[in-house]
Amino acid sequence: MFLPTPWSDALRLFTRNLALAAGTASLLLLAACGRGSDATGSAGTDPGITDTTVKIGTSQPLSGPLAAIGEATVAAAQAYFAHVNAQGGVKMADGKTRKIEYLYYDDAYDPAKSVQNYQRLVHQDEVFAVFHPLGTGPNQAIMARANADKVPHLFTHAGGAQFSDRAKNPWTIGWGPTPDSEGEAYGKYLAAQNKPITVAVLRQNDDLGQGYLNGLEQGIAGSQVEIVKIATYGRTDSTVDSQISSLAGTKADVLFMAVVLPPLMISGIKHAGTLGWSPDIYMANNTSDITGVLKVGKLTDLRTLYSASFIKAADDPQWKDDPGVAQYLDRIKSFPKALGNLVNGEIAYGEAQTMVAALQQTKAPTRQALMDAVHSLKGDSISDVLLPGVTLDSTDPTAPPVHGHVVQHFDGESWVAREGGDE
Amino acid sequence: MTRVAQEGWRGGLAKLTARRTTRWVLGAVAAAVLVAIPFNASPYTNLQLALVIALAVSLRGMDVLTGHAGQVTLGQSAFFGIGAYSGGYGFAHGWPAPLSFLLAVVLCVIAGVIVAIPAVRLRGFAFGVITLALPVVMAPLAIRLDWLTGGPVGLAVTTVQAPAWSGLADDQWQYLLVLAVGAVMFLLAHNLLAGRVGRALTLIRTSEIAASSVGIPVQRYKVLAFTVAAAYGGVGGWLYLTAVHYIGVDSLALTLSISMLVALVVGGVRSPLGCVIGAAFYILVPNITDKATPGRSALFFGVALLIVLFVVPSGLSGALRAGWSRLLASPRPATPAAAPPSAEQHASA
Amino acid sequence: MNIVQQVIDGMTTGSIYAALALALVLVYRSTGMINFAQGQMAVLSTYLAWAMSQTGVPIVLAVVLAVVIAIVMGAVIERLLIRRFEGREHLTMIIVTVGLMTTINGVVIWIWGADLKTIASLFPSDALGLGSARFTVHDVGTVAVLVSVIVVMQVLFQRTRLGLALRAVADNPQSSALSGLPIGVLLMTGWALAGAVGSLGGVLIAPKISLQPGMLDSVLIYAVAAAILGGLDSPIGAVVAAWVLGVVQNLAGTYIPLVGTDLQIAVPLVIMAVVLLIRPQGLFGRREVMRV
Repeated sequence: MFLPTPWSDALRLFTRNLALAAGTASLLLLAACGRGSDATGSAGTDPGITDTTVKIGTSQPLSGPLAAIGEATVAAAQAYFAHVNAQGGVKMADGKTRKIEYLYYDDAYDPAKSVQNYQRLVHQDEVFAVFHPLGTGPNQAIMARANADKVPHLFTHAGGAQFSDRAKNPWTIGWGPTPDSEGEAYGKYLAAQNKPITVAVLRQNDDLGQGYLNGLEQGIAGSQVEIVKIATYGRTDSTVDSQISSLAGTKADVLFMAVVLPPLMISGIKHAGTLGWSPDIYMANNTSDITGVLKVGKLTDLRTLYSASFIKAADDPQWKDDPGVAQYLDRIKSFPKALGNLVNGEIAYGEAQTMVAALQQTKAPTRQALMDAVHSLKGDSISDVLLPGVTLDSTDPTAPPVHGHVVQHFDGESWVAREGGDE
Repeated sequence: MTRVAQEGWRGGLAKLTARRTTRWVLGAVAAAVLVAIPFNASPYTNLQLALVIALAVSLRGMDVLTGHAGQVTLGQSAFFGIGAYSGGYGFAHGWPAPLSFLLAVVLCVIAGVIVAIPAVRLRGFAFGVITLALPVVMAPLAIRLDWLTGGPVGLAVTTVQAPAWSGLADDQWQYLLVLAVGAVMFLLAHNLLAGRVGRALTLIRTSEIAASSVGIPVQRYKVLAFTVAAAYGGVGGWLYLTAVHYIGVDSLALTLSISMLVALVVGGVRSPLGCVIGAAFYILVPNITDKATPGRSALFFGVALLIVLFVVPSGLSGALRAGWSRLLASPRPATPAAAPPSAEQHASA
Repeated sequence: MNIVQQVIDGMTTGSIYAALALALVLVYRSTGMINFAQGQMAVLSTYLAWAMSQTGVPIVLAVVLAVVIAIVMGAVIERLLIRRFEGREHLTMIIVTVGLMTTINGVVIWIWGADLKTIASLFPSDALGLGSARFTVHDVGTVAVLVSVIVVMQVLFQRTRLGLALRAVADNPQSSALSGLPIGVLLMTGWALAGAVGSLGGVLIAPKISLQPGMLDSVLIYAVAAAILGGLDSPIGAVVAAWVLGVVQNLAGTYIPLVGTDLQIAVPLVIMAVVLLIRPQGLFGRREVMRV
């Protein structure tokens, strides 16, 4: 191929200047000298903790499409920390009582911004620990830095199994169960029915959707349950009609909606109705809350909805006299944004309770001591919004602290727990 | 009395800044400041500045295509992504840094030429919209090619590390590397635009018909401009990865390309300084407004953008130049102290 | 059976793109620019309709009021914001609308929060059947509204003096001004009309995909694609192109394994690219004449 004039012109210019420029640049580099090691705290105390305060920070999507979730997450955590601070603070195991300072910055769900927020929190605000950042990408981007800096990266508001792998990333830990374990709960529940069941799956085309599917496949292994068709959607799709129509062609008994975007969950289920297909619908827990999805989507008349949860949904009438839930609702009164996304708000509240429990058991004002406490959490009293049968135990080095899922059926008012295989 | 004195210092300043040696000295001082920054700044500042430079490189490429050749592109983030993924793949597989850098440039040049050859047949909005297709397809494609891109989880890598002899921290070293590469890229762009290519692109922007009537191969120059933009996008993406250490689908939001265009216009087109200012605007303004009112950063970004466009439609760099010449110009137009900078640029071109 | 259903699903998805594309075409036809804020303006008026319906105003009345407000809003935005940038580079105008988009988005989130809202549909959601294929009254109603909007626009632009004047201004503002047309009023009218059509689109789309601040973000891309594919100055072209995009997207996603449902998002854009390369003026557009 011959080089047309503009190209040869450009090439000649580029080569002529390259040597000069590279020379200058390397000279500049050589002139540099080091900053020396990053000074951290006074002896025996890590940054972010004094005798009276402990500072933790987070990065959340407070603008952009996920803003509602991010705001609910921040608000619910604020609510719990405000309650703790109103009691005087958290009494830590070194005998001192400290108030919690909770910083949060917007990352608009852009990992590059999450990394900036991380650097800002750790190196400028000097937080003691990074707490519950939201989402796979943001946490993935932060994780390596936190582990290199030896900064606790705690209770990620993202379910991926990689965030609870102590051998690889000892300073990172998740909180809620992985999507895989949720999928597995559905799979085991279906398998326990002991009859041939066909399942159609709609999943998001990412690690989350893949996790749900992997779990489901594991759960039904060796049973009479069969996955007959899988369709995927992308996060920017405006409808999933096409996918639902194509799945409806299978006339499967069960539709597993591994869909984590409420608008698509609602319109997808409605479209199945329009098509006259009425399978049992298994909804991803993240997008199955009564107020934000079922009522908004006018799906409450359906008696075919199932979902596996690990928290006592605050808007579910069956828990209205539950002390834990009542307290939760009372405490978020001054932080109404927590209601913007109930599921994520309540999960964040559970994360905040776990954070406080970890601080209570921290025996010295060091990050290492905090991690030791984080890794030995166990007991039902840590969070009072977990469903009966769900346990919190952080001693397993390969799994997030919250274990277990309860498969529930929606009876028109409440998500009612199902015993495995009672049908 | 005072007026005379004033005119004296104004005139002196104007003469001083017009002198070649002064320019060299000023440039050297600016370079020294830029090099000195990382030694006193926190890793957070260094990261922000490295990101500003990475984005500025990408904007400089867009400027060649959009500012000089007049072709509005909405596809720059795709090349940015290719560059970042090349870096991510290279670092994840233990390649030496220059190799993945080279890969980023080569891939973007190839992709740029392939897209440009058909796209330059279109004019006006159609060109911009067709380039919008690139970032839209990018995300699902990156998920599909997960063996290459890490899929939805992305690539978290260790990038360039400071050698032991330097005594530097990684963030300082990375900033300096980004700065050095950025400087080279800006120099190259300057030289490219200062010559025949720059004149041809300007003519194409002002009138394609006039350009072809004097024998300029319009399509070829447009392909060249597009390819330069793509290559700069790739380099910018590679630098971004070097500083951020992570690239994933979440990093390449659909709006990134539009944000880049916004940054370019805010900074001011056809200006190297404009590219830097625009990049700084994009990276720093949300961080600053975020401190004042967390959660309202989008609103403030939008309002800030409108205000900037209102007050200084030629972009912030244009405002700076205008302010500078006003400072130099005497209250009474006694001497034509500073020619309008744009004219000056043309003259030197 | 399934193919028919996929085509119908494609039409309903295409109608979503079409509703916004029509508004884009209106602004382009009367002002010669693409308004990236069109989607957010539609979202804002849809929120207004929702807010009114929350206070007990019947939905039809709320929609009418919202459309009226959208008309005023469009005119005000043109007069107070866009007018200031008139005559500037194309690029600057695009960025002004981007700034407007971000600002309105921020305002909507500020006032109403970012969570989902339910807005009642103008039409019932009962299922209808055509052979074995199913769709809802709402889907049919949406198509009906779109068609009526096209008819009204076509009449307006082809048969009325106002339409003629709008076209003249968009084509060549300078000579229109010389021939005594009130440019300012006409540009304002163009924006007002687009605001009306956009808000109508918003209230039609929202019941289908739930009302939330970002509901039209990705729709906008397809709407732009449809508007350009249809030729930018043709309402019929925009709607037909939007339907074509929706249908082809579904068929390719469902029946071409290489594409699959994850990459079907790329299909409309590839179609757009191919068509534009063959017919740079779009499917229904007039060929642009180069002038020196």
